[in-house]
Amino acid sequence: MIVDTFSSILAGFSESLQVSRLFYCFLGSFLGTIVGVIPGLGPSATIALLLPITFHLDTVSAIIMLAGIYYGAQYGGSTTSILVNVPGESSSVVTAFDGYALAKQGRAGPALGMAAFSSFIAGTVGVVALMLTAGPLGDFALRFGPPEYFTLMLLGLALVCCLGEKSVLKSLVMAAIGLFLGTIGLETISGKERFTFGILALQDGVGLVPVFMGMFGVSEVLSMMEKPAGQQVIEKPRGLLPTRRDWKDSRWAIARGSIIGFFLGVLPGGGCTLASIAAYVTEKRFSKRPEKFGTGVMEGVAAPEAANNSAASGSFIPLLTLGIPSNVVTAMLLAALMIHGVVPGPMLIKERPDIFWGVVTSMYVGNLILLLLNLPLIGLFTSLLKMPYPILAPIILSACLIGAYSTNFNTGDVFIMIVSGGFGYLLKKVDFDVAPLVLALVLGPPIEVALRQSLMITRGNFLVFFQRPIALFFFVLLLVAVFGPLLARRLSKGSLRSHAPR
Amino acid sequence: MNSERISSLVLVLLSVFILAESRRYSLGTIDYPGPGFLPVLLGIAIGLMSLALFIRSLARTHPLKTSWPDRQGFIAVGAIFMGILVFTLLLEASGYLLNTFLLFVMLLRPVGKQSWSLTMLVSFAAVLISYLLFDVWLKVPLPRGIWLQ
Repeated sequence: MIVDTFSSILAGFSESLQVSRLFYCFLGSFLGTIVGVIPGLGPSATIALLLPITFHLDTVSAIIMLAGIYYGAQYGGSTTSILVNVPGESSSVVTAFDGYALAKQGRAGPALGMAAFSSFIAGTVGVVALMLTAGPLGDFALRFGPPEYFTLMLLGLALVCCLGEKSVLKSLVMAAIGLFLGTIGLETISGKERFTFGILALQDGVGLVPVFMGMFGVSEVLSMMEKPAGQQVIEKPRGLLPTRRDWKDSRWAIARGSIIGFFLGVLPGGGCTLASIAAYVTEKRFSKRPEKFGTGVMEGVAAPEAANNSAASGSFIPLLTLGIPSNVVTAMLLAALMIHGVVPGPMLIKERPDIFWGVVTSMYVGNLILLLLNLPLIGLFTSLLKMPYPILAPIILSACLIGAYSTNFNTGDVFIMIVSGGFGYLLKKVDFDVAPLVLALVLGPPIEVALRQSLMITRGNFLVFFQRPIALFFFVLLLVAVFGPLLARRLSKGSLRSHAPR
Repeated sequence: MNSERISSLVLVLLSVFILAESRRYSLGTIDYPGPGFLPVLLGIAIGLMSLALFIRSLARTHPLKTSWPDRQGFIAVGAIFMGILVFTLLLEASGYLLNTFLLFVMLLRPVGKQSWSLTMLVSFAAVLISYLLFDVWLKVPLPRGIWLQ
């Protein structure tokens, strides 16, 4: 089996090391870093923007590039966190604590260097773990039938709702709305048009690309343009290499961060942000000098940066082995695969090894490119930070508008995007989390199919979800995830009366 | 607090709307679910959960964090939203190049408060780059407007 995996890896490299593929890997990583550096613009919006362009590429190149944007952004986000205490990505928020402190001590260079190196090491660890676990996991998933898929997808949605930062109930409502939006359009079995109200643009459904662009591109621009951007003073860092002392301090942080990050990345709803926070907190707990955290300890940079990169690698597992996205970015990658006529699932490794191994090996290449890119190009990225947002805003908006139009050459899609943008903006204002809605929109049709198939093959036995052991297991996990914290609070109600607003 | 009450009520209305519309689609039977099956389930779920949200918002005494923009920000956001709507409505009539130019000008000068020279420079550059990118390189057939056919 090891020989099998090894030859698959070699085959994968033959895919990803082709010149055109290398170009797209580089392009994605580079774009991702830039997007990570710029606050307010994230990998989600960028991937949404580029989805229409990937129509013209072959599947492997498309996914390689989009994946590069994702983990590239994890590298880029740390740059602004360290240099100006403004996180470029939510996954780099904790990096700013010690990173900026180090910058103030004149040690921005080594901090940036350590961020890059730990990202590389952890990202590589994550890719290796992905390579090793995908096969067995895929084999296990071959035993899944519609009931298992139904409960698993619901579990994934529930976890996204429960592990998010906002109120669980609000997120669940968002998920339900997303599922509802997924029902809009022509229903395949009966041929009935649902909720279209005669609007032609809605016949094929609401459209993933316009909604993604609206919710992540347009609504983000609207939020950012509420207030004028301020200019930051940044000094150019010198001496990018961490000292031997830094390495000694950080090596366990990198190790622990990689592992924590990987597991939290695999978990739906987990993701890079949760991973970086968990790694930081863990490191502080294991440290011999926890009181120094926040004043500029190198492991306070190494741990979260390691975690967010291995989380990125980990989040590919549910997508590539089960066909289920664990976060918004992988949901969009799922959409990209569907656009190319590929249905990811346990058979992906066997049926399309070029995609699976090509993408996985490209992640290793991408991490390497990013390590080599990040250090010399710090100057470029710092000058990017000086660009006022009002120049970026029209660029993003016009790209969204034209991109949405070019999917079907139909202004209806653009209106859907604008409406989604307005909706997304309002939702953020009233503190609802948009991610569950987007994930539910992507998972809606497969969930409905799984539900109906389950009922049809069992002749209406809706207890089937409890009778099959794997499905029951997922369902129990779902109940634990949703009601567990509630029960825990009720049980400990004797102590403090106050709880943070949810 | 206020916003949570209003939003949960809106969501309850949404669930009523969903349930009302779903009556037109057959529920099917439990062994052969119809097109109305899942929408009805979802309508009920959304309705119950938003009611729970509403009730919870009544019980809440401490204010929630809402971050509505100030008057200037509100106008900016409104203007941008109107701007992209108009862009889309007129896209096929006046073409993407003119609309891109106007969009940039609007976002840079009145909303973004940049200088006239920067506004003009960036807007012209944007049109040029869009032309090179979409017409020359990618060859995407975007509408040119009724006067540039």
